[in-house]
Amino acid sequence: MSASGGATPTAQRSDQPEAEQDARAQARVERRQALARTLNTSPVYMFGVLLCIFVAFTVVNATAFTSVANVQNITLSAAPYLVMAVATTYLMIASGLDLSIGSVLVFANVIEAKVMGAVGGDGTAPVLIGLVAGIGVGAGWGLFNGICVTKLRVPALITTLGTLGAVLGAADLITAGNDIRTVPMSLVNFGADSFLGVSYIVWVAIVVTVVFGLILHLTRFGRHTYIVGSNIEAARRAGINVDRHLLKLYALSGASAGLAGFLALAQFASTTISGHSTDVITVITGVVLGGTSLFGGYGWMVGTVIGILIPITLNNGLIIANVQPFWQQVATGFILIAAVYLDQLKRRSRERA
Amino acid sequence: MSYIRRPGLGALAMAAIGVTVAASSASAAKVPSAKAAKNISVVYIPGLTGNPFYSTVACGAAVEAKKLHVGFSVQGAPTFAVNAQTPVVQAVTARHPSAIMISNDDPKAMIPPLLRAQQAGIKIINIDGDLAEKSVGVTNIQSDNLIGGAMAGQEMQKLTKGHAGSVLIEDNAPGYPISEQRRQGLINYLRKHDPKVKILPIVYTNNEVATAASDVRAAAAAHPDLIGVYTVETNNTQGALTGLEEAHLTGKVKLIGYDTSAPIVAGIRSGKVSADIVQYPYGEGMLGLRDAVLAVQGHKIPREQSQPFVVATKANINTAKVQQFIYKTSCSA
Repeated sequence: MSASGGATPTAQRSDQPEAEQDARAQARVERRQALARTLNTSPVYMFGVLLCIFVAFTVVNATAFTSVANVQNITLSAAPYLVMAVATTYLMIASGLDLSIGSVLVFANVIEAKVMGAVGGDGTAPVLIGLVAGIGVGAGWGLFNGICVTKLRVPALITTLGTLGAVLGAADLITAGNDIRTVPMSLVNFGADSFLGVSYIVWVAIVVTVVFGLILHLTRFGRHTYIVGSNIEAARRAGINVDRHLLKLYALSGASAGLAGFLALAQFASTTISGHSTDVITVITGVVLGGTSLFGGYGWMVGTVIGILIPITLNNGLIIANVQPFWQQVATGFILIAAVYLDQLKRRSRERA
Repeated sequence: MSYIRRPGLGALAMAAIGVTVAASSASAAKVPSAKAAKNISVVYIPGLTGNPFYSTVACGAAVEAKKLHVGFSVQGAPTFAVNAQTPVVQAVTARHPSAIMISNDDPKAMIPPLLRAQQAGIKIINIDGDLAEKSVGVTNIQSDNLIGGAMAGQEMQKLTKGHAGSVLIEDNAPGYPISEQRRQGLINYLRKHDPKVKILPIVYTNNEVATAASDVRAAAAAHPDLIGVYTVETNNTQGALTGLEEAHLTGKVKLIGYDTSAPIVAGIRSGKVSADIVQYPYGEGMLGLRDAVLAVQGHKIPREQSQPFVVATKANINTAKVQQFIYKTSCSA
């Protein structure tokens, strides 16, 4: 996914018709240029950063950090963030923004637990009905955001800042603020079990990432997302229904939060109402670290995967290295700034070249 | 919660008056041998970082660890939530210390990660927040929040002297068993012994000092018969203190807090905080670390261990007995 995913958007930009040259030689040169471009992109660069972090913690405490159980810890922690980051990547490539995902996650979390409790019993049926309900209400809030942004012309920052508070308040209204534990055993088992040594929760995140990564980089829907983000007027003139496209992306963002809420419910066997107020920061940080432009039009799914893994790995590794907790917050913050700064330097030198 | 027994009046009076530091627990007398404790390491995971109560638990444990030559460190997350605490437990488990002392963020959701730690051979000591599954963890050390709340109720009754009026309760957020018991303790006591007092709907402040202050002002404006404010966490007490001052109601409206911080202690000294329920986190930390070492060495420890309180007031705040309960802002102090 790395090579094809990274090369597609850039390769289109540099088609230079040089008809006189030998076609095969040109193909070879182009291939080499494409490789050089790929190596010079944010995801590859950030992968290097992630690798450095990994090596550093391995040097500090190899037995604890690189143990299978600990790698499982890291991937499990990353999974719900990754699901939301996938949708956020689409939205940010299209110059959209959704700050409400953490609250929508909690709301869907609550609806899922309530529905599962209301359906009652055990087995797959109540779990699936709860999942559909959760993704449904998530997509519903996403649509609400999308309508406010596209039809009512309220800026995305304000709209989703509003729903950030309102949706969490609505979740509190339903539960009186108390976490709900009406979770069927089958869901708890789903959260605890694994396949090929990888937790089902992580599998869900992997499937979502691969499917939506392929859609982003290989389909017309994906290309429209880039065009809407890089030049909205050009997108309109090219006949893309910009409003409808954005509406779909906001709904996708909400639905992803609904799915992340389901994964959290499976992992903790309880709603986690108070635990998601900073999720959106983790997600947007991961997406931006992965090379998606804050101004739209630019981004890779594989970068998002790496971008999410960097802060999660840092948190885990710093605990294993037994760094004092307050230093962890300081260190994580500055390492993020440093990583993006290095990426900017790289980008500038690339633009000069 | 099943492990909390409602205190009888006698027990309540005992708790309120006969408070002594020596917790009457079996293991407190047992002292682990420092020689055998050499290769033991203990990690404390607080409910959240940067909270005076949990920091004081850590101080008590650190002092005891030094005495016993035991390795000790603190690891935690900045928010009080299971999905923040779980990755911390998992990472600490990967490092495999001899024992984990933990103030659990949820009695049920924290069971699976701690069960995994226990299965890996790590001894679990629960501090101020037990699990619903008693087979996880060798002990739980905490003070009874229902009793603490009832003590606050008793103080409120003493201060308002049977006058009719409204009492406002401020809490961080709904859904936390610990603060719910603190509220319920006061409500139960006042309903029974002082039915003339009207208890206003509970106000939630999200742990914000500024919100706690403005909510007190709003309540005072809306209810001229406001006679008392009860705040069940540090930041609410600090905020209410400011709010009452701004509304020029200090002293007229009685303020009863729970837990201490530097501004709250100053408030008690000046009489602006009429009474404050103070737990003994320092002792919980010391006892927890001792028990961790004992458990690693194979000793048996009582599953439930209760810790004492004091009610701090202007009259007794400077006494040595109350001073040792006050939460520490830095371990050296």
